[in-house]
Amino acid sequence: MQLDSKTYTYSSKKSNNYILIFLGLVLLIINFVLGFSSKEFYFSYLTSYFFWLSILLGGIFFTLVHHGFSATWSTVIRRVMENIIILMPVFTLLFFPIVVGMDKLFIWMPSHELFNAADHLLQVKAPFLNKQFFIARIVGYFTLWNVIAFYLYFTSTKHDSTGDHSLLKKMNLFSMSPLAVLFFISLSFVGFDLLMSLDPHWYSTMFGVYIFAGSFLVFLAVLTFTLIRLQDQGYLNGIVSKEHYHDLGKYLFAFTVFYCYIAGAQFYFIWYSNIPEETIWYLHRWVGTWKIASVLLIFGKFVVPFFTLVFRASKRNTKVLKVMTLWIIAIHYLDIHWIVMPTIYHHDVHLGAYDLFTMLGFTLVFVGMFKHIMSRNALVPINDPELKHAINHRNSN
Amino acid sequence: MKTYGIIAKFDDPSALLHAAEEVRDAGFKNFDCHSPFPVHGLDDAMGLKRSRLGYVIGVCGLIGALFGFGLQTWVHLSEYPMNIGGKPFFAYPAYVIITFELMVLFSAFGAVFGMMYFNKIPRLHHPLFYSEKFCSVTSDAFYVSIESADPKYDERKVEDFLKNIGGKEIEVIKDENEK
Repeated sequence: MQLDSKTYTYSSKKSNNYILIFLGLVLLIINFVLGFSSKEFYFSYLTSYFFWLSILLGGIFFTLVHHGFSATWSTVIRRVMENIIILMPVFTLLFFPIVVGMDKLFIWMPSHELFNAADHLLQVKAPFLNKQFFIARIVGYFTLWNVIAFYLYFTSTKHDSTGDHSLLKKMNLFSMSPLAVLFFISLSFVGFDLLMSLDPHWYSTMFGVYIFAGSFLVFLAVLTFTLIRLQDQGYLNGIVSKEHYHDLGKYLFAFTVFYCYIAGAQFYFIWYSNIPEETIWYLHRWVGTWKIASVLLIFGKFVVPFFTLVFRASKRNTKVLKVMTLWIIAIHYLDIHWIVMPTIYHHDVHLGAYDLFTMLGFTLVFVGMFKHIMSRNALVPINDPELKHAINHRNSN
Repeated sequence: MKTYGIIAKFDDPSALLHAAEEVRDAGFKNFDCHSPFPVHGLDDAMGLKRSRLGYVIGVCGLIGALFGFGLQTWVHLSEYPMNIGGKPFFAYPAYVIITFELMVLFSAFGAVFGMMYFNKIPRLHHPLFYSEKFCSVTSDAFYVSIESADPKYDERKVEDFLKNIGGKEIEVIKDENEK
């Protein structure tokens, strides 16, 4: 089987990508400088940052699953996933403002202006929630994620040039190694550290899974949208077919249900047991206009995608998928916003300039870097022996 | 004795696939393929439409969900109101679990009984088993059967047709139950 190299060689103007990255970074820096001493900036930054980080984490998960199971059908989309996860070093650097602003973000930090040393719960949680251990964990997470991202990306591109199939076996073993287990633990704990600890009295044992479900769902949406865009521009024709979109659609549908299951279970347990320090978290999100956001989240993240994607025809229709994936991406932002922001805005939803411009900055950096990295290598792992099977992949009726 | 149809044997799955395509293209509707194991692509080769079972399950699931929610609303609001942990009587978040479970239960009923309806089972016997040779279809043979109920059925023509597309051991099956 001979593939036309035009379909898998992505070309984009280098200077345009650099301009995108530059503009994004400038935007983020201007925001950082202007909001250096204001609390609101750090919360907006955390929201936007976590939104993009969750996409990368979902990507690492899918790539590990792909290699761990030596999957066939996802071989055609593997390189796109790898191109997303290799942005991890960039996002490691972009974590810097959160380290700077952590005294303003986390009320359990002794240097926070509202820190209450007499708070019994904070005293009990101090062995975990303290500055030194927090920083150590963050360093640990990013080391792990960078190791995984670098290993998977560079082994895969090396396989492109050498065609040495033992590299595939290596990636397979790597994905089943303790590092992958550690990755799942880190995925839960980064949710605990960055989002759950914003309200240190509150805890939910479901929260790690909640973060995982949201991350993977939004990654699938980004991946599907990217593939549709690439095909619109004439790439991957004859490589990615309706069958692959069907599978991605099934994944989107499954994780819409999974997310709802986890988010629902988290809510029911807390609602039912009615323990004050737990219910207050939901109460903050059920007052004023936050109530509208909560209801929108239920409908937007479950009801709408569920009843759209439940039909086979909509999973095979790229136009429907395009709208649906954009919708899921937007609602995921609302989800993160809904977790983070009620910490400082107790009464009403507040969408400010910092939210908008940090989000815009991250988007520009992400798109620019992603395009730049995508043009460096083939869009599919051209030497993978499973590639032919993956292209001919068929779903049964 | 009434004729049930004609069967022809094929050697391997690819021959069966090819035969199924030929029979489909010849315009037969009441025909079937038999093999010891699932053959990929056979549905398309036979020109089978997608099963309607999914819609049956969907409707059953919706009915189950409505029933579950309605049942609890009725019990908690009018039939046996009870104060549970100071929650309101119409505590809909607590209803979700039973609603979900009944949706699953009804969908499962819909799936099982719908499948039985579409497959016309339970059925204790099938005319094809009057053929001694046909029994090897459960171990190593691949068969195509064309039923006499098909509008295009003509015994001699169908026999020739099956022979042309590579069928072996062609046999006309009489339904011994129907006089």
